[in-house]
Amino acid sequence: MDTIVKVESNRISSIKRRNMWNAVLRHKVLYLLMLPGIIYMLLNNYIPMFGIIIAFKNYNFEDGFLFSPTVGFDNFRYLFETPDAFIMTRNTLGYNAVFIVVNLVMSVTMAILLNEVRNRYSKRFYQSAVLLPFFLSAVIVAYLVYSLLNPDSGLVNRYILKSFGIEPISWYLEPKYWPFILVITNAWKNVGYGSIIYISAMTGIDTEYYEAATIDGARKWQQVKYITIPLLVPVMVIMTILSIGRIFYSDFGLFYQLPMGSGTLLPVTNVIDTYVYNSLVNMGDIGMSSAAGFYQSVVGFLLVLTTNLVVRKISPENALF
Amino acid sequence: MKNNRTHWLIHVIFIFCSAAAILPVLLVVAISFSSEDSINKYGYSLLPHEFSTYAYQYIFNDPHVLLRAYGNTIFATVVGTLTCMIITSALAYPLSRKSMPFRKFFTMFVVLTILFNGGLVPWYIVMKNYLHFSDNIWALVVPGLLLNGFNVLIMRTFFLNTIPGELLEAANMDGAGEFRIFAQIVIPLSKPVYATIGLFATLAYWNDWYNSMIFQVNHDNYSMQYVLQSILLNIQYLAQNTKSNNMSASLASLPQETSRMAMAIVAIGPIIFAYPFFQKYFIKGLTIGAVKG
Amino acid sequence: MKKRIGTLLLAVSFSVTMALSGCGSSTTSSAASTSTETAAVSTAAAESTAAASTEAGAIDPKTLKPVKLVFVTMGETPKNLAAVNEEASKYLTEKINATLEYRPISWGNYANKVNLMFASGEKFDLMFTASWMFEAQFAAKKQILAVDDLIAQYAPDYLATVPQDVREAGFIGGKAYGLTGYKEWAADKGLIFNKEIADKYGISADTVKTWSDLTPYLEKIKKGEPGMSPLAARSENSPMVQMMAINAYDTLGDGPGCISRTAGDTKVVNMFEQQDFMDAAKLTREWFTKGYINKDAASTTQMEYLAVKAKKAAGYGQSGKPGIAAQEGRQCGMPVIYIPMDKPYMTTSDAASAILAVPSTANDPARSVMFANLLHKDKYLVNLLNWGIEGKDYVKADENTIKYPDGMTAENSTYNLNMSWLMGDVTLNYLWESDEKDIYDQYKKFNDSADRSAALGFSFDPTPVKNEVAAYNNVIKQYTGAIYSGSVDPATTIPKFNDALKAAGMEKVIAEKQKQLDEFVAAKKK
Repeated sequence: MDTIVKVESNRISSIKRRNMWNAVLRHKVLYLLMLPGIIYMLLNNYIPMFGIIIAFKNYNFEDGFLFSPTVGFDNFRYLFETPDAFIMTRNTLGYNAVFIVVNLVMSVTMAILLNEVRNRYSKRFYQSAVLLPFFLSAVIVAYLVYSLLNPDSGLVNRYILKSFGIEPISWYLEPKYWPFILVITNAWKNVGYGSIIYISAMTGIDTEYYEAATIDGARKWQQVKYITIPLLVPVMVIMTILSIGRIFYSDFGLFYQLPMGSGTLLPVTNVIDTYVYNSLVNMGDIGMSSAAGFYQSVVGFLLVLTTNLVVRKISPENALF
Repeated sequence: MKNNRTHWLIHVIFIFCSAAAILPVLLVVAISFSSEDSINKYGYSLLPHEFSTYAYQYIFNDPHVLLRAYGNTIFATVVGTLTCMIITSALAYPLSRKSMPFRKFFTMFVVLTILFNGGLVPWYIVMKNYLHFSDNIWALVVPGLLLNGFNVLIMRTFFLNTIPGELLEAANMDGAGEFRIFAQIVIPLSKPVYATIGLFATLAYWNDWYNSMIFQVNHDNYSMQYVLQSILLNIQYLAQNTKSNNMSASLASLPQETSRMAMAIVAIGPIIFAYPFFQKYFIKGLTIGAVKG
Repeated sequence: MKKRIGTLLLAVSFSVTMALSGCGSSTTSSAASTSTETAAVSTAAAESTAAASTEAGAIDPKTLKPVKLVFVTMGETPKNLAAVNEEASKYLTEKINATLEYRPISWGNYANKVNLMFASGEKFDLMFTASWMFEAQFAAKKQILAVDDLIAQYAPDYLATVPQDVREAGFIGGKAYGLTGYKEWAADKGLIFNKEIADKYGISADTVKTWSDLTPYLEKIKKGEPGMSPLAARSENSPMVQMMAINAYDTLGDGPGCISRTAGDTKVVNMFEQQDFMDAAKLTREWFTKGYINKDAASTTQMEYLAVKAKKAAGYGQSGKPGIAAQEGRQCGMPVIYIPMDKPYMTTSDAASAILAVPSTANDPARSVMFANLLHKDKYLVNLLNWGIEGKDYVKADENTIKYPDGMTAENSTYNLNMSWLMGDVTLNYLWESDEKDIYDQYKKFNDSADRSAALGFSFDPTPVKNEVAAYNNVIKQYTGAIYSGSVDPATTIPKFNDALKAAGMEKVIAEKQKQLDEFVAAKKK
């Protein structure tokens, strides 16, 4: 009995293997196509990834990467044990969560609205215009915001608040306003860029859908709701999964430059990247900075796996893997 | 009637958004054309208090270096973007094919590159010591920028959603090889996403200063952004660090703020003109309005 | 594109490093491991220069093997660099049979680039470092060599010009890792005032002796000059920064814990808990609330001299040195006066603020040291590297003074390196027409008159407490700007600040610092 089963199962697995091999062979051109990209990633990403071990080392030049003394998780302590560790972790997660939602909603909305603009020239003009802020570096954005919010000569204090009879506000000493300032600035800078992907996704939608809907008497809003948005969902899902993977990383320029170095704002502007920067700028310890990067990566990896699992439960065809 | 009103509303929204985007850029232009003293005295304003082109003169003090750097950046952007589009789509398309074995493995392979990196030093050693991207123009093209997992996944999603599976099957039945399907069916159908990824790659190459900083020794191979950034850092240093100025050769008036803005303009300028080229492909599509007539 | 944290760290704008340079960090390498290395170096040196005369200083170039020296410092690449390199190579071939490739690396990228050169094993022969430019880290990571023996053998001119206590201030773990530049090694602290305003209201070094003497004058300026802030401040440089952080205490490198200048002992204390710190903070707060300091001091990045130039402010705090009034006056675009508030003070970070070190990948360390020594001896070489070629990049006005050729200005000069302060002995440089003629004598007097910190030469190794130091750096960033600019009430903020410091593990760092300092003092007594 047993032997028969065994022989049988062996036969099945060998058939499977042969089928698999056939399938691989059938797709050989596809593997060939992937080859340059795979080689590039091996060289550019995977081989250097061994550098991660430096997070566990007290690096010195003479002993090099492999033989510098190992210090376990000592390089990670400053990321967890200090009083500010909780604050910066909370800020990083909080801001990124809000950014993901706000930017997603606004980018999609902008793309859909833009699609409604009939005039070809105004459409092109609007689309180009909203992309402009993306080109300005964080330093310049910081100066522009400063020209609005400067306690002495800023536009907001001097004209806007004054005309409403409100006392001038010391914006750079009042942390409570900054979550809003940061979210607004981030959206202003990135929504135009973010909407490009959705605009481009919409050009791929088959016209027939809309024609059919129009014949059925569907109103515009209904068309958007039942045709456009469902067709954008796969793109939205992938963008969200990827953003979640980088939720522990933050836009360093935004958080470092915008507060113009006002330390009082740190409780609401300090994120992991700025914390690490402030901590290490004059220590230059690459073990500790690698530790931070490793921490960010691992958390991102776990979150991507989780999100993907959830997506796979809900709509398997949109899952990443 | 109602439809008309919606359209007006949309225009109003976009006029507001465009103003919010354009005015700050105009402000940057205005500052770049002001004299440093007037900025210092009166702050920013949309109309220069004192018109001056000193900031631009300062940046272009040594035009040879900057023009050469522009050339390098244009070369890197063109070659890099084209190669990037080819490699990215060649990797993304197979990942979109559900029938391909080990598809999940390779997707994971791509995802991991987005999440993990080993840091600057090991990357630099691989690129410089083993692949010899150092002090040559290719160091602006290849390391780091040529392929980006993020773009691969975006493309994969587009292929997955816009290329109907039946079409590929039908082509297969007709005996078309995989390569022909890719070249003759998939690529022509995917212009918008090629334009999108092309635009992303163009911007990445155009804005790159990092590879120059890391890999280049010789002036002749610097990228434009790096040259601009160095000028700015140097101004900052001269302005802030009094230690060096004891020999008085320092400049009496440095265009600190104005040159920062002028640099932004010098850097943005050309790319703005390149933009419509890409826009044409991803905005052309069909509008709901157009369908409705 | 994503930028890695490491990148950000290193691609830091130079200003940050400079702002923090007053409290540059240090790491000491263990003496045991360096001694073997030193031995290795001297054997190597002995080999390569075996034939050269061993008599100190007298080198016969013919007996040396030809070598190419790559020399890196910060700086912008001047237009005519290639010509200068060629000229210097010709000259050096005669002197020490070496050719030179001087390679300035732009500001802010320097530390990064040098680290990468080390990482990839690139050969280079002499580099700039300083207590604020990671000297201790370079030494701890064994990237630069201990060169005591080579200095003794090949750098007699350096030994003759730079006094021993200053040289030793640059030592790490009792070893010399390079040649300290001759420049000002101390700083005094004081105030710059628009001369016209100062004269009008009677502000001078005679009337203002202490910081609180200033209050009535500030009041008068405030009343008499509408639209003008009596003092300009930024969080990184307010009068209080000058009073406290750089002047009344030696901050002993990275992390918390200072020694008091007035106490004169080596007891490590938390500066922020001291009474004089609170007094200074209260005075600053008083000035701020009365409107003597610009309202946006906590967030502005406008340099103080620009505020004075625009007549928005009358004066500002400034750390001083010889020629400071002339220098600041040029930047302010008007005559200014400098009021020193204290005698110059010399700490490790001041004395070790420019060092030329030999990288461990150097071709021939002995030759690197010979070249560095020439920068302390050879007037022609120093001026060639700093100002370019005579007749092309500058012309002589008289024996010792130079100016730009006709039609050339600072803006369009062909060789504008301007790095004389790190290129060996600064006093070998020609003077520019606008310089004070006796400036080099002033340097000497200034250096001689400086108070030596009780911890001069001590450099703190933060490795055992690096996590606490990292946490401390963040707390500092959060509180000091607001306190120094007077934007918050010190009576309530300083206690909160100290609680936060304690929570970040300050006491542990102070204890470690005290331990290391005690060891340093004990070793010095021997």
